[in-house]
Amino acid sequence: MSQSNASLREPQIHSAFVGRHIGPREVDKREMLGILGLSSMEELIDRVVPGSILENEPLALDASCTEQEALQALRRLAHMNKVFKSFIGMGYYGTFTPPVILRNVLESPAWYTAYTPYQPEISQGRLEAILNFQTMVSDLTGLDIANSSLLDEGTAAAEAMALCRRMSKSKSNTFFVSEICHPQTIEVIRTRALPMGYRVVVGDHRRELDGLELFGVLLQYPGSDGEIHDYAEVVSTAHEKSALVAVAADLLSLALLKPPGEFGADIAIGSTQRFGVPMGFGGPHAAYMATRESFKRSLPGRIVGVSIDSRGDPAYRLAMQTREQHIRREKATSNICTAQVLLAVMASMYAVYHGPDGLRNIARRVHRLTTVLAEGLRQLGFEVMTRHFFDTLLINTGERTGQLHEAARVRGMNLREVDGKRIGISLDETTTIEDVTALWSVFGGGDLNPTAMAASAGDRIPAGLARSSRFLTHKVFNSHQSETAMLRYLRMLADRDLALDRAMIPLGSCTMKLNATAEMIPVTWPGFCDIHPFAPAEQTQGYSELISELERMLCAVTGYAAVSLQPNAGSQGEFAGLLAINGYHQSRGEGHRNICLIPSSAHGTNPASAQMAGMKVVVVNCDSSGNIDIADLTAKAQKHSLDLAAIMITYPSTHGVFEESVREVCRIVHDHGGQVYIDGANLNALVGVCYPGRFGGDVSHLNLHKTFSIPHGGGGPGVGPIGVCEHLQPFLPGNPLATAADGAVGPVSAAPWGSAGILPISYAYIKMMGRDGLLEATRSAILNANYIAHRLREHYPVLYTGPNGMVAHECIVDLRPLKESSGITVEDVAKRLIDYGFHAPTMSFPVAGTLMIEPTESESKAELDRFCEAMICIRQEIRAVETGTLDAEDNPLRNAPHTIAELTDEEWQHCYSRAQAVYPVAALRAGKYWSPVGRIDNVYGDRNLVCSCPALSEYADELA
Amino acid sequence: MNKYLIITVIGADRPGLVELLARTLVAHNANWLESRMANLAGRFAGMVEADVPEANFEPLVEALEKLQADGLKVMVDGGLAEPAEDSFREAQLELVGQDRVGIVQEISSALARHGVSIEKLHTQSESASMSGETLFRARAELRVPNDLDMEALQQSLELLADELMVDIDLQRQTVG
Repeated sequence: MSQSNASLREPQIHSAFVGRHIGPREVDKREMLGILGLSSMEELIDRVVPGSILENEPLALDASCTEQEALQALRRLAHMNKVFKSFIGMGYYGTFTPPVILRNVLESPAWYTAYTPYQPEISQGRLEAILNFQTMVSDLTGLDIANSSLLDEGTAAAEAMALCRRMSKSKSNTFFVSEICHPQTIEVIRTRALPMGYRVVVGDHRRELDGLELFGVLLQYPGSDGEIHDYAEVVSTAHEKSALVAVAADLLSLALLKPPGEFGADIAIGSTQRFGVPMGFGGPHAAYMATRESFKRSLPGRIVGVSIDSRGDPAYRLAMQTREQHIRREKATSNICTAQVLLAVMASMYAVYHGPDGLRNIARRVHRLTTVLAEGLRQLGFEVMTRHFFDTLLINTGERTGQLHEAARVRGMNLREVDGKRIGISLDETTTIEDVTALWSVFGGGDLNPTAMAASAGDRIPAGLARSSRFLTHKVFNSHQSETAMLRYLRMLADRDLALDRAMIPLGSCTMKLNATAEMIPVTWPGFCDIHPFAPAEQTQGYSELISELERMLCAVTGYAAVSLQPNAGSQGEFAGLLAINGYHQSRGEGHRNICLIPSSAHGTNPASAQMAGMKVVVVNCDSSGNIDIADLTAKAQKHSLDLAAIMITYPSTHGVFEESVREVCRIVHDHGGQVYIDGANLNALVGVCYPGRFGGDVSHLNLHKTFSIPHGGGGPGVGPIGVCEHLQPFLPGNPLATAADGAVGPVSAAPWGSAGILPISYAYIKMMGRDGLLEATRSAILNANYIAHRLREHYPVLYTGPNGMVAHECIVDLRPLKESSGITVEDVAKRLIDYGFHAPTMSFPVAGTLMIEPTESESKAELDRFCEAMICIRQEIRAVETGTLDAEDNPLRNAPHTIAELTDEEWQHCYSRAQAVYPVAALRAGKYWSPVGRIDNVYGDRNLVCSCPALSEYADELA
Repeated sequence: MNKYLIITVIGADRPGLVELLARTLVAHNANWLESRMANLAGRFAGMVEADVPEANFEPLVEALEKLQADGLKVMVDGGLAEPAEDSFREAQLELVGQDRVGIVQEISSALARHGVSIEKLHTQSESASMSGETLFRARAELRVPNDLDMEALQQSLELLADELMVDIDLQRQTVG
């Protein structure tokens, strides 16, 4: 083609995004291949991927499109969704995201590209934000300690049930759920109770508790129907039975209502969605849980605590990780891995911005409008069945019900379809008096006078349940009410952190790839944001096309027959996948199969999920090359042949290797009647190269927040869809608004499509990469990992490789020999990397004392080189310790990270220079990330557990 | 009549140490019952429970003490009676928490306060997955008085540290 023709049209425009997404240029790739002794990307893949599973057919996807075309396609879908004013309620409400938070948190890569704060020194900003979240929740609920955060209100309620079981002294296996809990909450609880063997009784808390033995009770406050009940008596009845009481509470209502902690509740849970987080057709939003201090070891999810750093200054860290699955595996308190940190940050900032008075005013206004609405409806002759309410009314509409819904929709409004005779209406902070007038006109009273109605409408909160205690008294909630103050606070926090917008985050098994701006932009469009999860299907055509198209794309990528997008985290996907396996065995009269084989190298979520699904974990050994020990597998599969339910494997393995024997592993398990679960955490090495659904997997979960570009958000949101072969399709998770039929699987999330609001990200990614771009991404990820392994190999042992000496998309470097020779630990190296401007690779997983490095395809050769140079310089520093040139204790590794505070001390305290401490490589002088705190003292944090904002006096000390 | 003894040995690790010990026992017709061996920081350390015919007891002790010449320090706690059945039951203890100076002593003293004795104790410190913080893990077999309030024991242990996770599993069978 001549130059003049080529410039008018493709191909360069159409493949442009692929080149933006993938870091190394063509010339870099050739150079890197050359260094590895390879001539082409094809040869690279042939060397790395076993021939027995490698496929050469192109992905069944379209060619790549441009960013503009992808945005245009998504704009069309967004327009196909009809944004109605939502009065549906049920835990999802209209809210105004303060623009300063929208732009500087939700739309800011400093927040959304950050990783989970396992490295606390470089995460102080978001740790403070989520400590604010915990303080906000614990203040509003009146309970001692709160986590940050859970996936949605339904799963939070299920976690509350599990907490009740752990802490209750009752021998009963019955959990009582009030019938005025949100219906989707009840269904999620049923799903979770089933494999644990709990009996769920749903009924009227006023009548049906007597005579029941039970370990826990779940109440809704205010009820899903709007009614506010005084639960004090129920609480004492339950406590007499040694049962614990969990209350699902609406956080905004607690600005006006007596908090659950003050009427004796043991646990409070709920959603923080209406604190400025868009509905997004069901998610993502952060749920919360708070409980008594004495139950802290049983509290699921992450908990931020306050500790001190190496200089004794206050610093934050993740506390009590000893509860979690990455430490405790199947004994873990819960299986919350990716939570909803970005959304928790938004909700906490909403509270910081509005402050206690602002929240109270919002709550009062919502309540006031609801009382006015109720008064008008009463005068129009409708029976308002709710006596005491905050923002929700239940109206007896009898025969006119259908007609009223119709009238509302004509006016662009959705009301809650309770049943054929009753309608629910929930107001929120976006409701105006004009909306109330419009609602009256639906009910035939367009001419009602709001002022007159207001005059005769009284407060409807029961006197005994009005809130008298103060909340959000901490300075942080009382200092940022101007936008300037808020803007600077957000900037100050973001500047403390190291996210992908500053440097490579080479975390093995976490796939921290580019989250492209074009992928992120549609997420905040009203056509995707402002849709209630239970809006009528005819209003959500855009979403339904997006979802079915994305499901089709993911089927093409994985080789499975069907996909469910409902699980809103990887752990949820694992749980859903195992439930599908349970369902399948049951359908064949083999429901007794309950043994789950798990290789010793598995991620901790695998055994924790198996435990939740009611399976018994049997560990399969790995051989010295890190592969599944086939002899051990065969022996265990044989031994448990009659009871074998499944094996859970990760592919490529968590050791970063394409195991040659994967087909054989699958065959052995199938031969003994088991199903094969392939954990998709490492799918980034497979896309376009081989297909889990074709080399032996029956079901896999994928992490859209790893392989398909959804950002990590500092610890969520995530999406963990599952793909299944045809025979498991009938056992995909069910609809949260319907009780699952016998033999079918119930919902695992509160919303039908989980975190639907962020699906446009993965949709855009796949469209813009196209079939060839996705394959090129996989190849480049594998190339980058092998390049790093090659460069580091002469400095550090690379622990596991395939038969050709190659790694997959990540590599493990072994630091244990260096600990022997120098006393320098993996933690020292990780913290020293901060001085060089890097987030550490994954520490001590899957092997303690090692670092696992995953560069992804998005990092350029220049960045890989910068990282390798840092690692090599660190090796030289270790050598200096080995030879005695550097002191064994007082050396730059042990003391890392170095802070400005330390550098500007009157007397420099160390026996190496300031320059060596902070500018170990010259390039850092041109631009450097400074750790805001020194190394954090974990033991101090353990001994002094503080999980809410420290008292003002401590702040004063800090400032002094 | 046999006599029971506990032999504690420590020495610079090298091949053949266990064999040397075993040979000495066999030479005195002593029966190797149970043992724990470990290499800690390049030192070989071991404990052996054995029984020996009463007549051979003194000569065995003498022979063991002579191993000093081979670089093996030996301590013998001898003349023990055969362990008696009593009002104890066995329990498994698993702990994971932040590692810190004195943690083993704090745990053992909490156990002692409740009249619990430690049959076996295996501890290690390790780098925690993901965060890299140094964790302390212990697995112990305990002998617990039959009438002990297990919840009180659990609480005493949990009081030692906020992040200490304690699992105690009671086993039905008696020590055997």
